[in-house]
Amino acid sequence: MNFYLPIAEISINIYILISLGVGIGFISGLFGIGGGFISSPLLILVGIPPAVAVGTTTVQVFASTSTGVVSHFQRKNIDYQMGLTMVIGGLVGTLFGVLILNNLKNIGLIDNYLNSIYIILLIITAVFILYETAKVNIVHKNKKFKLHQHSWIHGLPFKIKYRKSKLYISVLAPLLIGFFIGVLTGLTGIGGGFILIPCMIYFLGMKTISVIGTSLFNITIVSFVSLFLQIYINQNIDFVLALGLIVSSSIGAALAARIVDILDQENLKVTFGMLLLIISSFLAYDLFRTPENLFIINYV
Amino acid sequence: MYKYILIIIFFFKIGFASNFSLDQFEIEINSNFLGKEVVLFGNKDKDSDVIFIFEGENKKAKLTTKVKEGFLWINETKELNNQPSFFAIFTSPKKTLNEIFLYSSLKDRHLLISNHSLELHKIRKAMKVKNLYIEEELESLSGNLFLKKFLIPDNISPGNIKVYMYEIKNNEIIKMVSKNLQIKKGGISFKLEKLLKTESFIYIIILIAISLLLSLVTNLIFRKK
Repeated sequence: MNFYLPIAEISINIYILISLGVGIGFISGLFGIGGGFISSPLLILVGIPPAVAVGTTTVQVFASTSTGVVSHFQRKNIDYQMGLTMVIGGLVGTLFGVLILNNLKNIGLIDNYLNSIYIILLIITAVFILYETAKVNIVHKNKKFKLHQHSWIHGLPFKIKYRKSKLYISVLAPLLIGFFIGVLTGLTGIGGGFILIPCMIYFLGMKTISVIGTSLFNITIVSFVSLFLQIYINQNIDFVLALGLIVSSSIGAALAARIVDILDQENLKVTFGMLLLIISSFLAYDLFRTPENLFIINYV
Repeated sequence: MYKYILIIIFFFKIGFASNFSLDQFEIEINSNFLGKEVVLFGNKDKDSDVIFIFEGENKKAKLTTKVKEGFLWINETKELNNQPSFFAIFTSPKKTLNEIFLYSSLKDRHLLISNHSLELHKIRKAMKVKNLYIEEELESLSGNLFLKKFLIPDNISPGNIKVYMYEIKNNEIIKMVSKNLQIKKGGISFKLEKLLKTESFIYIIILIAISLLLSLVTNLIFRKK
């Protein structure tokens, strides 16, 4: 059964959309991620125009993270000072990202660049996850090791105290991290939690307890602003697709929550890493294979 | 069957002069729209040929050509002004594009078949992939009646499709009749698109509110007890 997506201007099979949403939600719930970096490339793979896939994913990211923020707010797990610093960087970054997306759309290179960015992001994340899992399980199995070490980031100027996280670091570090994630949010629609969380732990040295709440806080505000920018600059958010994705991914996430406790966490991480490599190889294959159609026309 | 009855009625109504009609002159794009089958039917003089051209409204478009650079396929994009959003050619008897190119007045009127250029060939191919370009023969029925069923695809742009019938005798166009087929958005699709284009702020606020509500409701329904 197909139905028409008014902004994407194509019809999509309802079962494909539901399976996609449930699958994305299930993966998100299982691995504790927002799912934006999986949903954008998957939507593109099923034929949604890249610009619409990016815009619509932003809505899904906003909806899924905002409910998480509320629960972390109630548990007082958010470092607002750190979060707001990253939000400032993030907002500037998002504006850059949305403008770059608009430019890529106008010059017709959107699918080349978006695919390449997704491939790089997915491979880096997969390698990082697999490396960390291997390090913990093989190299450091019986050793205690420091979660973070002092790096060049701690030598940056304009240091301030972040009381909640008990850190005395340069304001430039969270600003730059926020900016980088913001560019990715505007450009690809992803929330960026899978990059933000390791950055906050390993680069800034934040405590794990406030990392997730603060990252959700940052992603929710940045994706909220990104929604407005996408609508005003790119007009690329499909209402029907967004609502379908939100409902089905929430169901998938809830299903995952019921089984996540009985699964081995280390095996889950390895599976997740492998899954990312599989998705990225599909996207890479798309860049290298001879296209079915050499000529494509899109009406403005 | 009803379409054949329509043809018979049509035949008696107009007599023997070449003419045509469609089973519908207005198509609405709504949330159930999966494309629409249109029936073209009519009659022609037994000694003449007919060429039908369906030409959608001209729009701005971008033509992307995949080019191999090294191991990668990259896009080369060209902006096009005034490209028809839909184009169909139906002929009786079957005529190739090369044969159609012989009729200069027809070439002059329709940009997409105005010459043999590579660029127009690329555009026609790109439109064909999206089912926006059709080149087929009319189905001949008994006597001088003809019929053609074809699909207006789900990715059609709203607007007016001009339908031209050219009657040809001794390699000369002796008659031209034109009618309009309206494609318009309706129902929720139209309202959403209009809202997005004219009231973006309201569109996004409604979307945010419904997203949050749906997210909360589904979390409540499906959350682990």
